[in-house]
Amino acid sequence: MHRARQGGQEDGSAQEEVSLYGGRDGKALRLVPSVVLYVDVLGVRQMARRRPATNLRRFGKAISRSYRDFGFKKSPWPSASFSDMLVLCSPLSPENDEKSAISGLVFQAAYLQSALSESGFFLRGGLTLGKFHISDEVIFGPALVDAVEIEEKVAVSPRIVLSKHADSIMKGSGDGLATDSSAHSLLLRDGDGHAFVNHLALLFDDPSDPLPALESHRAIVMKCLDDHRKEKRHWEKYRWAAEYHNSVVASAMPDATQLLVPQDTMTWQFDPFA
Amino acid sequence: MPLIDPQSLDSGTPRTADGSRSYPDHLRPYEAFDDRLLHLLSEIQPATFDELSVRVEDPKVRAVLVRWLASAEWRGLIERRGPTRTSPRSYVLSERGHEQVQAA
Repeated sequence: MHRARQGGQEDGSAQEEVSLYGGRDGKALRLVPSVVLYVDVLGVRQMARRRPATNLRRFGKAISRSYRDFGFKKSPWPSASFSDMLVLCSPLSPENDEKSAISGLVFQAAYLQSALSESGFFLRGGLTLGKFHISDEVIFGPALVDAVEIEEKVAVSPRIVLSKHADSIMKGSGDGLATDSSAHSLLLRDGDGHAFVNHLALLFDDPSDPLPALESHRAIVMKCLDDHRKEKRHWEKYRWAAEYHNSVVASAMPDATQLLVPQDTMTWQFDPFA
Repeated sequence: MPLIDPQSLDSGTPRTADGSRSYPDHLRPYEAFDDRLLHLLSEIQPATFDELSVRVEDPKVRAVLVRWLASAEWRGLIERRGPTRTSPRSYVLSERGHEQVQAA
């Protein structure tokens, strides 16, 4: 049913970590304390119903381009994917403590969100800690259940939210994620108190000009707002994306007002009573 | 055209070739990993992020590899190749990076 990747089985330093889960060479399947990232690509169900052939090509291209960059066979982050869902994990060990594992997966999440948003897709997900198992046969465990629940019930908008436990571990700990500047911090805190992955921060690490990527992100957000202007529930998700975009632009490039999503685009239009 | 102004590389705060942006301060802590990661990259280059990450033994270093790559690129120690339609972006040591590895 799913495509699972357990890295480092042939060579490389990740071998020890991924073999912790067992399930190969007759070894018993094991639940291992892990950090788990679960993400869902928004809008794929609708795409499958509307113009499925065209959308299949578009989705397939975006997914293969994004997954090739990080979910490769020997990746130290074992992963599994099914349709529009992806699970990545980082098993804890004496060398890979909770902070390192969370940091690594936050970077992975940010990278994946950036890559897919360039192709017009938005991600929603959860990042948790707990017992987890992944092998060629099965993915299982309370950490996965928690991550799915965060994705379905807490995230709501296209954001990847940290569980309260992960949040508390990272609070006050830089570990490469948080910085004094919100534009550069890989984690932000939303108005509802939840910490989420600030994927646009990666643009400002890079010596390449962030302007084209921000222009592209703005255009994609505006297109999604326009496409869903008759579907309030979906539209609200992209309004959040517009607010997030504007917040990052205002913080990192306050003079670049041309990069902001216009307020009228972010305002819901009510229909007359008829 | 290079991304970084070559004349700014020895200044401690490299700038982009067009002068519009300078080396972000929050990337400075990752300079501590130069010796280890430049040496590793020299052994397997060209390498994608994933190809490099699987060779990094310390999960703590692996966790921040994304930011070390950005830091090293700003300082002209590594250069990017691609991405192309069939392969992701990869990295190689620059001449400056080679010199640093040899000097270590």
